[in-house]
Amino acid sequence: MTDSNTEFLQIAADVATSITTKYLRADLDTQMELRDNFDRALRNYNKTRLVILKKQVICTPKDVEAMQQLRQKLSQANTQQQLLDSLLGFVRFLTMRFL
Amino acid sequence: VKPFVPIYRAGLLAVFILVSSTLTGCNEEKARSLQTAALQFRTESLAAIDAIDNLRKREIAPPPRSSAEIRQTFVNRFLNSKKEVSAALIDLAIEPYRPPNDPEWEQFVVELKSQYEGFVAIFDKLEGGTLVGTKEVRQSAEHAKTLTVQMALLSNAIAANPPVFIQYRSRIIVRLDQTRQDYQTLQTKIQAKESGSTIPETLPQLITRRTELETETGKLMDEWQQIKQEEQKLLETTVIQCTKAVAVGKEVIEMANRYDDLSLQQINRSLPKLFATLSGFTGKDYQSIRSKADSLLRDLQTDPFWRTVTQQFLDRANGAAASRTNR
Repeated sequence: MTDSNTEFLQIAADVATSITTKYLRADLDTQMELRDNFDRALRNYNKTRLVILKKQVICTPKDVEAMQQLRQKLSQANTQQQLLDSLLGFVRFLTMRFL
Repeated sequence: VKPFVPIYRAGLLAVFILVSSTLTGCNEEKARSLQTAALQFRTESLAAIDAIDNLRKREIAPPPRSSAEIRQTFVNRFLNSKKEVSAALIDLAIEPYRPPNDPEWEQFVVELKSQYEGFVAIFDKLEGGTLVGTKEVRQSAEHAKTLTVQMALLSNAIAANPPVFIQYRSRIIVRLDQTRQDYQTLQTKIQAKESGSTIPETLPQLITRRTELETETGKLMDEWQQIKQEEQKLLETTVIQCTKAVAVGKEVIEMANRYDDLSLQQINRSLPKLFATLSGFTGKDYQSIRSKADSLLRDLQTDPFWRTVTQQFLDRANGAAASRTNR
């Protein structure tokens, strides 16, 4: 149980860090466009961490795989739209699966 | 389903009920010794909750910046913006992201704490001589054990999932990325200059700038390592504090369980030993404390006195997890 949760959370932290890096790198106008979804992304990450610490979730290999795919997609996101798509993908996945 | 929080109140009550029941006996001094240990359990548990809360906040908090840095960043960002000027735009230009309050985390922490704060009120009642029946003591005893089991599992989960200071890391990554781009652009310019290209800067100026970028990169590496060290330190502090709470809780509840068989001398020998053990829980030897935490958790899972409660707790958690599995 702990291993898959730990692996999942490590990748989710990578994704959250990468999202934050791309957001911080953006100019002010782009940040204005992204900020609500960026806020949702970090909030959902934080909530996911809480349910994992409370052991209210058992991550599956599918969850780990889904997060790896999100990480891969994000690494290739070079436009604002691609970043937004990745942000929304992260938010949606965590909401549907854990929250 | 919130397996962590609601059972705390009953659990804390149980500790005091166990302790209070001892006041009916003739040996009040013996009871008071156990109450001291119970209060220590409360103190260590509250400190553990504070540590967990601090860890959560640091994970998404922005790193501190100097006033000069905030001002300069604001000027650069704001003057290059084309959006309509608004309060939101100004605030965002000052700080790209300041995490808002997180109601779920806050509720979790407040509820946990409130159970322990309730501990004092129950203690005051005991001082007034209010006593509770044996049947209730027995029923509540299982809940008292759950307090310790919960803290042990929380500690175990935190240890397995170290904190990541997302904004701290991201800001270093952004700066490293920018420095690398500047360096590679500069290298191209230096090569062009050496090949006789007409570039406004002199070769010594370019080389000086390159040295500055190399120095900056080294500083950023130091900052990165410092962040990783702070993450590890915060992890250790939190796990150590949780382990202290577990160690005291386990001892108190086991002592309360054997209360009738223990002499005052035995209790008075055990408690200083326990407190001495706790004072030895520092960050100097984190691995040995991790081993201690693992050993405590193993005891809770295998010791006949504990394992039913531990299993019940895990079953509740697994039930909550199962409800999320097939989405």
